Amino acid sequence: MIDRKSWAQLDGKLIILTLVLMTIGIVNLYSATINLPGGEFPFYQRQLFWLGIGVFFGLLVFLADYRYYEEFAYPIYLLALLSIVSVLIYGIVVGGAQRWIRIGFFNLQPSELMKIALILALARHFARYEMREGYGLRDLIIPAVITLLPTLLIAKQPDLGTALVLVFILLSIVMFVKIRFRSLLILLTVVILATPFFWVALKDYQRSRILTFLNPDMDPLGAGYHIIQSKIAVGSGGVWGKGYLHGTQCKLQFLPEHHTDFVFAVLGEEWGFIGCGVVLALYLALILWGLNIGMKAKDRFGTILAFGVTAMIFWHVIINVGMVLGIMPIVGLPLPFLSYGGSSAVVHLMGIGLLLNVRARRHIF
Amino acid sequence: MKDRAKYFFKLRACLVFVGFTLCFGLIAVRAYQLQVLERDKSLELAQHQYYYGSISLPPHRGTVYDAKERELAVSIKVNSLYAQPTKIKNKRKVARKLAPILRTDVRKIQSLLSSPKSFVWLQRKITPAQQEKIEALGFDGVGFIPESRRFYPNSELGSHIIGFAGMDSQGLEGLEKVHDKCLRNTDEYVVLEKDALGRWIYISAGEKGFRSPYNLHLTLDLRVQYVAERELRRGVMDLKARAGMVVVMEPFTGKILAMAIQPSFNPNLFWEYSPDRWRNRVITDPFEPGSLLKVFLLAAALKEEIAKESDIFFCENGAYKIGGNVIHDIKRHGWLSLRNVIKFSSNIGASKVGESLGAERFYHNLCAFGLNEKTGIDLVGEVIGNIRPPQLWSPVDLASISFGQGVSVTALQLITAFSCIANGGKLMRPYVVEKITDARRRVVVEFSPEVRRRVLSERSCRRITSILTKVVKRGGTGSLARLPGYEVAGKTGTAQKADRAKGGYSEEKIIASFMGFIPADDPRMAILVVLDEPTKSSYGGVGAAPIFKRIAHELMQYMGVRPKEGGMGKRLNIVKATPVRKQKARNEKNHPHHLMPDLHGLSMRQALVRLEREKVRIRLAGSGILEEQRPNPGTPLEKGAEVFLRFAPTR
Repeated sequence: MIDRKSWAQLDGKLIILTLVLMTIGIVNLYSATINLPGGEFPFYQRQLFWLGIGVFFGLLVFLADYRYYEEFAYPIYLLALLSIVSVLIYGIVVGGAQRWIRIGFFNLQPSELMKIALILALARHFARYEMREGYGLRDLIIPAVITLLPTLLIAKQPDLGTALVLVFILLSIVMFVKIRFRSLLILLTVVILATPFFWVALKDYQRSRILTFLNPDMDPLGAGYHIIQSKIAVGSGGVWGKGYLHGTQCKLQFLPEHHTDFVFAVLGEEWGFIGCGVVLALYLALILWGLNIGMKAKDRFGTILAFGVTAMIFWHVIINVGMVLGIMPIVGLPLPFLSYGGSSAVVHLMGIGLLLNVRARRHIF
Repeated sequence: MKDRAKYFFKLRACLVFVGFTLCFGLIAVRAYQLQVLERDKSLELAQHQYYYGSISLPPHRGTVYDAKERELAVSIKVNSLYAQPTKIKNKRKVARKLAPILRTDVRKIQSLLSSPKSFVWLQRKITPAQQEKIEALGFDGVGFIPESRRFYPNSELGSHIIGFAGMDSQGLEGLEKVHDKCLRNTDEYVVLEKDALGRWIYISAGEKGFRSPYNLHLTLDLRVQYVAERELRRGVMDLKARAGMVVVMEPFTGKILAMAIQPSFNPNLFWEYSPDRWRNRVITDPFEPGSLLKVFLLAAALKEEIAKESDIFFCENGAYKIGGNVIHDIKRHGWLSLRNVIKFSSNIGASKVGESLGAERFYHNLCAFGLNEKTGIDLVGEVIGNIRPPQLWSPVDLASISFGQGVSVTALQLITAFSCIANGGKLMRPYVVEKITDARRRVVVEFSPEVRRRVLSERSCRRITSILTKVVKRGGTGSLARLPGYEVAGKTGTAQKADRAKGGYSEEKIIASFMGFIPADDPRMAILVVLDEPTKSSYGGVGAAPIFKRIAHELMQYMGVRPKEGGMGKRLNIVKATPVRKQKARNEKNHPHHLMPDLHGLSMRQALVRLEREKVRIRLAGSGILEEQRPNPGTPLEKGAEVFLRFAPTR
């Protein structure tokens, strides 16, 4: 299962893109956290450590032929599901949310791992049950259950962002593997009809986030604070930015969470529209290349797997940046490779590992 | 079939491709909108947040130095208390706790706290003790900002010249007002940045368009000023005078070396005195000069060649009738030479000289001496006295003006005109600012002596001087100003004050004065002593001359002018020594020995507060916490002693 050839098949472009993004991430994180008390090690050093761990796991994922993952997709999924359940029981509470579980010296966020596990499980399902004419609603029951089970558990933590990403991954894959047009219409109708019920099911703070997204000035010092501050920070950057380490909004801690979910605001403030454009272009290149890998994959599982990983990265970027720019409601979602956070780094690098894996084995029969 | 499926697969892939790209495009458009189109709005919002506008702070003021670079006015940092009313929840409680510490009314503070502003001053320039107490309360929304406060290390000394600066560091009186623009730096404000927790971050705006304040270097000599003030105060107290002044001028340059005024005020606490005390009487209060004016009558007579020194005038044995008025002399004189008219200060003799001079010529000579114009000194508020045009002078007026009644001049006009005789005939423009330097001590402007005009020939001056030295000789009215070893030229003056209530002149209220220069042959200083309404020893020769003598004596030593050989007769020496000893004893009685306190570890302000009551001159260096002090703790502090304090930043 591990052969020497696969090393030679490592995809240089993807690796370079990833490395460039990681470098930008570290450089930006250094600026973002320069004023934050960081404990024993500064944030950027800790993030370097996590990126190292991520690269290790990414390579680990790369080494085994992805077809083995198809075999073990469901056990992996069950394991992830189990860890999410255990979080609800044993997890530690940070900032009102029970998302982490303590393993040895670090805190693991199982919901992050669930993203990969779900992609594997969905890829396996859709690869095995191919529908030439497209999937009907009845065919989508199993994928829906596979997705909604962890989604609901994660939403209960609460971690709306990750839950949302899981649903988006499912929807993306469903669209990609072809859904019947009629089914799509019905699905859309159901979603629209169900919206009021979701609204009731949401927690207060989640509701106010969506309300303030629609009208941030409603409560500028309360729920609308993030959006306003974030927009101010990015907007005041202008075309060329205020210069590296010269941002004021983030340095003066007007912008909370500016090293995690709102790290893009630091970038926008200090590097301006040019910096934002470059980073967005890099993400787009990564995502389009990921799609390409999926298209060129040798088998259907590989294709769906690569697409799932690409969709995951896509939604993270779109939702996170959209939120920072004030065109998406605030859901806690990290920006791949740029936000501070261990689990996110590891999961996204594992995703890159999967893409490399599919890419490397496209010619092997 | 398979091809078709493949085709649709590719189509879907392309759609996804395009969809993803479009999403990114949307995000980029949004970024463009925020960062390019709406940038100014964001920037404004951002600045609004982290700048608190610009709180303009009292500017830092430059230092005022005396002629020997001793500090007369310095700026020190003190804290002011502010509040952010929006952040204070329990306004009532905060107000109730703060009021007793700030010693103000609870309601006043509460109304300040209730204002809708996000920033208000609660009290400016509070003491460290108050700050400690307020900090101990630990209220949110109140804090301190360092401001600059003016401090006058020599308290009263020279306060009328230096003036003072107010709460907002604006020059209010004296040189602080005249040179306000030089002394203050341009628009000092602290850019206050506020972080998300509402904490203030000060960023001193020191770069753009900023000019450090300039320093003033005065002609004033602190030592001379000190001696003048000390002796004046003593004289005023001894004679129970209402007020008094002393001006010391360098005759050849017009430099003011000292301007002492009693009653004085402490510029560090200027608000505790009535504004009337702040007035620099030397330039603002004209008075009738009395016999002092005879000096200029003499000068006119010699210049116009009306009389020679030896020409004699009949002094009518003490009573001279002009019109309906009778002029009296204090002592009866018969025939007196012009020399003796001055020496004995005969009013009748002066009237006769005036008569022969005539109103017109006398008037023009007085004007030539600048007695009817401003001296042009670089201080604010200078006025001129009143000398009516000669057409309006009746014979009685001419007679009385000849001995200095019926006209008024300021002390500065007098001493300036007198200096003209001392320096050989040149009328100078008096001045107090020697130069202005910038923060690096580079000279910005330098002022030099300015001759207004030549009034007399040097020869005439020598003749006048020789007569004036007789005044101070034994038998002259100013003999108490005699200083063994030095030749003094001077003139006494005793003027009756106009009695506004009764009309005419008051019998009791007089102005006793003496002006003289020393040494007569090469004058180093001209000194004018004026006592307003002394109750005892009503004559200038008795009240003012000794003050002149004591000042001149000490200053001759200070300036290193050695007494002439032979002048120090044994007898005179004893006479001289007695008052000095007395004076020392008095000083010790009034000021028991103070000991130098241990100031180590104190801030500059705390140290200055500790030394506030000591009559010492304080020299400061550095900033921060006291690291070195001279003299050592426990050393007796003499009046006027120099204390040197060096501060260094902690850690």
